[in-house]
Amino acid sequence: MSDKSQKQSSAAQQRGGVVPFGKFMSIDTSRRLPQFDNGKSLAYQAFDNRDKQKKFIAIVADTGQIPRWTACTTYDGLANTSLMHLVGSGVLRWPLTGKQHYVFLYQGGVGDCLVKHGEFSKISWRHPEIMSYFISPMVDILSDMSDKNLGHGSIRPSNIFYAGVDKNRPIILGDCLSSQPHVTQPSVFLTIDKAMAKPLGRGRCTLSEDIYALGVSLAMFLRRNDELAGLSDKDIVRKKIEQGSYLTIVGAERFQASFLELLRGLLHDDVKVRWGLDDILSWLDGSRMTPPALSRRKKANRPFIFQGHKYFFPDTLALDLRNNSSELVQMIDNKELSQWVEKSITDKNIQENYNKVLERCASSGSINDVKDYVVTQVTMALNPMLPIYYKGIEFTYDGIGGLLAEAAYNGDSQSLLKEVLLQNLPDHAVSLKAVSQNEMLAQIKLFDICRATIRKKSQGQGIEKCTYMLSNDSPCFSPKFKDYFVYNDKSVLITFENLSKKGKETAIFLDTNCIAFFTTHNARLMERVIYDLNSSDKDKKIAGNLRFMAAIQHRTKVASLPAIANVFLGSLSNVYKMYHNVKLRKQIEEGVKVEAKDGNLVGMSAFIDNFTVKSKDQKAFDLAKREYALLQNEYNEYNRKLANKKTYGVVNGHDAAAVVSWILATVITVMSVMAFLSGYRMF
Amino acid sequence: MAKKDKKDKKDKKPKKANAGKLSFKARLLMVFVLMVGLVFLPTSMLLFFGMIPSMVAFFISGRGLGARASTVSAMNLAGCIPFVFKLWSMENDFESSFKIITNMNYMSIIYVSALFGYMIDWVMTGLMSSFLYQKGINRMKAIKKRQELLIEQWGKEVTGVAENDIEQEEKVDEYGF
Repeated sequence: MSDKSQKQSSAAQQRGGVVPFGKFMSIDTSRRLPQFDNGKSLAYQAFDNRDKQKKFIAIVADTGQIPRWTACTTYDGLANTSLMHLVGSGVLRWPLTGKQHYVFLYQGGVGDCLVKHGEFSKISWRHPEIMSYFISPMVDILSDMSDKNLGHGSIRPSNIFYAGVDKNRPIILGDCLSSQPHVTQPSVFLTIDKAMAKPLGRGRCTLSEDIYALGVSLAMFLRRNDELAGLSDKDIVRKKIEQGSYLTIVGAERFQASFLELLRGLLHDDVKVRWGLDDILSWLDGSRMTPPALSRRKKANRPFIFQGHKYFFPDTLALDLRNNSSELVQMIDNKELSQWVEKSITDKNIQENYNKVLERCASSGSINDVKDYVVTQVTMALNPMLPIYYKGIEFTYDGIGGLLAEAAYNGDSQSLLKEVLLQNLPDHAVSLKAVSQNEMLAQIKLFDICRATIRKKSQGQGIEKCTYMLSNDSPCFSPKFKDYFVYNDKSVLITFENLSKKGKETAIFLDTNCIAFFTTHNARLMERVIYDLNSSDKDKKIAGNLRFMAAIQHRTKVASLPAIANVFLGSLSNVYKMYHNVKLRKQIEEGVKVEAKDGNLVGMSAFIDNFTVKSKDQKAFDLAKREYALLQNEYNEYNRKLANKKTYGVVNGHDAAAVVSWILATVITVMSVMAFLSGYRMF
Repeated sequence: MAKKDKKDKKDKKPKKANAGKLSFKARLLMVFVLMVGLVFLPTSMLLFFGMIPSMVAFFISGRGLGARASTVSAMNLAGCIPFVFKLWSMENDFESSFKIITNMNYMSIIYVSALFGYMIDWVMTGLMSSFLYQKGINRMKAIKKRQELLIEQWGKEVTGVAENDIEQEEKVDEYGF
């Protein structure tokens, strides 16, 4: 948003809650559209200024949910009529919060949601209608999104809409961009690991997870009873672990046999067995599919007693281990748990994982000193389906980025997450999951880079950079941008211009968060200035900041930035001293002043960072310095010699006298010889 | 380093030992002069007595003042030459040589010529010293001027003094502290 638009925004608020968005759109702050809300991201009515009959849905994203602004281009490229059509997106200063928010503007004319959360469907579609209006369009959407490697992560009946007033048309799937995947999903729509994790710690969304959510959504749409009534999210997850998702969701509900077949395929907890798009398409084509068998839990030969409870299954034991870490450590120490795992559990994978965990824990020192680490590792070994649990927080291996972003946004400490990374917990978790070899290697490589980054102490490194590396959608979390949404080159310039106008800025604009953000998103540009930005010399830092800002101005073609230019102008007095020639320095100073008046950072930087001139100036200065030193030596020598006027030049005087005397003597001798030879007698 | 110092000491010792001794060439020359002097004994006697001021000048001139003795010797020799020719135009024997030596007028002429040498040395030394001193002063002024120009062009950094030091220099009180 430009400064002009912001002025218009505040004016519009005073006029009655209409905020301009872009050139032609306006958002009516007084007209809420709650059915399109996505968690804390709230929906409002928007319209085209040129034709007010054209209605749009504006979803004002809550920054705390980390809107997926990087996915906008990909989403816009999806040519699927069953997806809400994205008309535009961008940053807007929202008058109701006084902060900048990322706004997604979707095409209007969308009907009500299929089923409100916690309610039952009111429409009585028959089998063919459900197939053609609901399942088929959903499969098309998932297929298209999968082709573009984009997960939805917000598939639920309350986010699936009728296509207008006429309900006998294919559905439209709602927004998925205003928050990270899974963040706004009720836990029932999530697989076990995602449901247990913190909302922002749920990580990316895979096609398989969207298919699972589709299965739950279908069941919710078809159900006539609430099988989960009275159950908390924790109870639902436990039930899913104990009975499997299919039995938990479907329960005793009576569905048509064909739907049961589909649901069994979609709701299978094992990712490898769960139906994929091809299976669903075959099912849609009417092929007779063999539904996957319900997964059978392997019961132990004898129970394991923990905190007075008998456990026959390692997966449920894993759930409760965190309740008493001291007892767990004791049971590991006296090998009680090891014996149970080896002798009573028939699953070799669990035995293998458990043994590896024991080795890791032993290498980390005394087990009593690393209780939390032991709980995490043993939990993961006994039930690889669970998310990582460490010191009270739960997250998936790819969800650590979201948690880092959440902590940075809220201004909370990131030290616990740093600890998680340094202890290789995400690496161990990913190695236990059913992911492809490529995916696993890519993740481990990324975590390795993060650990190396954490150990670096220069600006733009550390946990800040990890945050942006692991959470690509994170805006810049610099404390300077508290009420702003800074996510790209242009927004950083405009934000700094606004802050400079308020007089809140110094010439060292870029703090460690900004540097980390741009090192991640614009590494090539940052490489050119990072040396100066990390310098302990304040003037070099200022020069680096100016060079960076100028490069962005050049790239984004923002015409004038007079406030930033003024801030720089006030701090460059020492920077000019990079040039030694006084006359040249003055010329540069004058040139910079002229450029600053126009707000042209590129021009200012060009004057200050002219390499050829700088190099020539330095060479000439070196020569002048040498000349000065030689002259000083000569002066000191003269000073020393001339100190005694009586003796100075005496030796030379004697020499000169000798020369004169010998010449005179030679003349006299010659004359005497000539006189003698001529017979003339002098005496 | 220690070895080098020892080497230097070894080199210096023989030099000190030979300091008062004449070199082989000098000895050879001395023998030649003595032989020539014996051959031309009357002339040698005249020159011996005539060149007494030069000998005195050589003996009393300190180190580095060989030039002064040279000046005196040149004029002293110029004073002796006409009387050597006079001796040669006479019998060129001891008696003639003795006559010249004992003639006060002749000897006065010879010694005044030596004194003239002293005068040349005194005048020339004064003139040269003043000239060179003035030349040095002018050169110092030119150096200062050039240095000021360099400072004007390049700032005080050209002096090679660190910037902080320059600032501190500028902040001295009236007593220079």
